Amino acid sequence: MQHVFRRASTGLIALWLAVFVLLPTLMVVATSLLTRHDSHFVSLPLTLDNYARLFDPLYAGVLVDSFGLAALATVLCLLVGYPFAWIVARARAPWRHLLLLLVIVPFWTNSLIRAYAVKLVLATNGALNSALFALGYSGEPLQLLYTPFAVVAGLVYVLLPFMILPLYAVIEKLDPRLLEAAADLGAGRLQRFVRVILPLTLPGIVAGGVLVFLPALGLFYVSDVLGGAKDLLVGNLVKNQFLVARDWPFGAAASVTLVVLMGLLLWAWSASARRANQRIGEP
Amino acid sequence: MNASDPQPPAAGGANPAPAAHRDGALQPPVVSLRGIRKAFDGKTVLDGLDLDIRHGEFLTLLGPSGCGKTTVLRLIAGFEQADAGSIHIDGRDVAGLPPDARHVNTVFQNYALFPHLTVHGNVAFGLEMKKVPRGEIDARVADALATVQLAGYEKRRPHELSGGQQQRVALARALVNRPRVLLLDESLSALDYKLRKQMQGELKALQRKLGITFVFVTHDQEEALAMSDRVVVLDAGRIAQQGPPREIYERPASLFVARFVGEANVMDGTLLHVQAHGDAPANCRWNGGTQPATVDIGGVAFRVRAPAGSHAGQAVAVVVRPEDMRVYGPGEPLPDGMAHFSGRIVERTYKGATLDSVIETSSGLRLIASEFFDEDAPDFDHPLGEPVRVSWVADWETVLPRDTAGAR
Ligand SMILES: Nc1ncnc2c1ncn2[C@@H]1O[C@H](COP(=O)(O)OP(=O)(O)OP(=O)(O)O)[C@@H](O)[C@H]1O
Ligand SMILES: [Mg+2]
Repeated sequence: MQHVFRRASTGLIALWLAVFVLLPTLMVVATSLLTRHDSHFVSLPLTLDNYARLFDPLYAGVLVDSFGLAALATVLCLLVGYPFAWIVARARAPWRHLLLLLVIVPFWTNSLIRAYAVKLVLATNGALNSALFALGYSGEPLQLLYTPFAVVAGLVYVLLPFMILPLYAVIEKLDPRLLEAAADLGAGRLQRFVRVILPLTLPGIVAGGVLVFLPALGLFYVSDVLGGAKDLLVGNLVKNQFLVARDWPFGAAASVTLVVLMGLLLWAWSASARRANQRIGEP
Repeated sequence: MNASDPQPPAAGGANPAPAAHRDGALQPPVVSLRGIRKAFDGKTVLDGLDLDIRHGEFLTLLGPSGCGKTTVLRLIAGFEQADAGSIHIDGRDVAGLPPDARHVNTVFQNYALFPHLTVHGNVAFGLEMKKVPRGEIDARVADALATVQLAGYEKRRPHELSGGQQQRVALARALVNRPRVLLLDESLSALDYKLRKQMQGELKALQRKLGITFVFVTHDQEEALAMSDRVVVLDAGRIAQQGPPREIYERPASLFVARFVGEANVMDGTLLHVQAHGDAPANCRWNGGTQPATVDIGGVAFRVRAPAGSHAGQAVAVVVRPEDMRVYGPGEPLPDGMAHFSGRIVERTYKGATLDSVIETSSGLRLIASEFFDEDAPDFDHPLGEPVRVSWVADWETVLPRDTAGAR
C-alpha cells in the first residue's frame, strides 16, 4: 500500500517537473536558437546570433554590472547578516524566537511592495532625507533614488533573510565548548573567530551567499522600482527583451546564459559544501 | 594575541623542572581557592570551598556525579566566575582574567576536538597560538602523539577516530603546551584497562619529568588511589575529606567517604565501655586520638578503637573493608578469644585475584568479605550455605559517631 503511494507520488512529481519545468526550459532553449519575427515572435532559421549578440559591449556590460551589483549586495548581506545571525543564535530562548520571527515577518509581505517601501525611504523628499534635515543637515537633498546604490539597498533589504537563516542554522549548531577549548589553548577573540568559528560556519556563509547572489541577478522589479528605467540587472534585460523590445530569441538567449551561469555557481557551491562537510565530518 | 602569557616560555624543548615537586610544600601553592561559592540558577553547587594545590602535585577530585568537580576545574580554567571567594594562580588573583590568558590547560570531559582540523592540527593549535616556530611545533606534536601512542595518526580527522583515540588526542593537545597546571576531567575514562594503565604511567612520568601540576577528576576509585599524591573527596559542594590516598581509604572521616571510596561493611553498634588513654597495640594502623572501647553490634561485643571524646552509650557505625574481614569455616580454629559473628555464606563472587563472599549473620547483618587466593590453603573455598564465623583483623576497623554519619 505504502509502496503504491510512494510510486504514485513520485510519478506525480516527475510529471509535474516534466510539464512545468523541463518543457518550458526546452522551449526557452529552442526559442533562443530561433530568429526574431515581427508578428509570430519567432521563426526559422536556427541561429546562434542571439548568443553572439550577448558579447556586444552594451549587453556584456549589463551582465558584468549585474554580477557586480549582486556581489556587492551579497557581501553587504553577509556583513549585516553574520552578526545578526550570531546574536539570534546565542540569544536566550524567548528572545531567540522573537528575533527569528522578526527575520521571517517580511516574507509575509510581497517583495514588490517592500521595494516600494524602500523607495519611500530613499526618495528625494523621503524618510531618509527628512530625517537628515531634522538632524540639521542643510545641503542639497541626497539623490539616492534611481542610482545603483538604491538598487543594492533594495536587494539587501529584500534578500537579507536568505542570508540570515542559513547562517543562523550553522551558528546554532556550533558547539560553544569548541570555543572554550580554543580559549583554553590560548586563542584570543580574533583567533577564535578566524581559526574556529569561520571555518565551522563556512557552509552557512556559502549557502547564504548562493541564496542571495543568484536571486540578486534576476530581481528585475527591484531594479525597475529603485533603479529607474535602466537595464541594471540581467533580469531587467531579459524582461525588457520579452515585454518591451519584443525580441524573444535574444531574451531567451540571455535567460539561458543566466541559467547556465547560475548552474555553474550552484555546482561550485555544492562541491565546496561537500568538501567542507568532509572536513567537519558530517556525511 | 597571547602577550598576556604569564609563564616563562617552555620553548626549546629543554624545560628542566625535575624534583621541583619534592619541596613543593615549601613553595606557595600553584593554585589557591579561597571561600569559593558558585550557584547555577539559584542552586548552590560549591559552598565555601577552600583548596590549595601545591606545585608538582597530583591532586584528584573524587565525588559523586553532579557534586561540582567539573565546576571546580572550570573555575580554575576561567570558564566560570565564582559568585564569591578568590582564585590565585601562581600567587596572582585571576578574577576577570580570561581563559586564554591563564597558563592552565584542560582536557575536557567531552574532548572538544576541533572537527575541521586533523589530529596534527588539533595538537598543534596551542603552540601555533603561542607562535612557536614551525619546526619545533612539528617535533613537539610528534612527541606528544608518541606519548599517547598515536604516532602515525597525524592526518586523521577526529571523526575518523575511536572514542579512546579521541580522548588521547585531547590529552596530547593539552600536554604539548607543557602547562603549569593540567586539568583533566575524567580523561582516561574511555580507555580499556591496559591502555588506561599505560596512560596512568605516562602521566605520572610526565609529572616527574616536567613538574606539571595535575588536577584530575575521576570516578574510578582505583585510579584515584593509584595516581594521586592527594585525594580530595567532594560531597555536595564541600570537601568531605582530603589527604593521601592511604589515609582516605584506611581512615575515612565520615560514613560518606567510607562508602564512596571503596567498598565497606558498615555495622551499627552502641559503645558499651570506653577506656581513657590506652596504649595502642603494635599492629594498629593508626593510633592518633583514639581510645580503646567495647562496642555492641547485634548482641556481640567487639573490642575497637573509638575516636577521642566518645562515651559509653553512644551510637556508632563500625566500618570494616571487605579485605580486612576474616572468614572461618567449621573446621578452622579461631584465634583465642576473638569476638565474631556466626552466619552462613549466601553469595560467592569470583573476582579474579579475590573471591568475594556475602555472609548473612544470625543477627541479620549482611557482610562482604574479600579473600585473596592462597596456594597453601586448599580448603579456602567456602561452599554456599556453609555455616561460618566472621570477624576482622583486630584494630583495622574505623569507628564513626552515628550522628555525623547519619547525614547519609
Ligand atoms: N552551566 C550550568 N548551568 C546550570 N547548572 C549547571 C551548569 N553547570 C553545572 N551545573 C550543575 O552544577 C552541578 C555540578 O556540576 P558538575 O558538572 O560540576 O558536576 P560533576 O561533579 O563534574 O559531575 P560528573 O561527575 O557527572 O561530571 C550539577 O548539578 C549541574 O547540574
Ligand atoms: Mg564532570
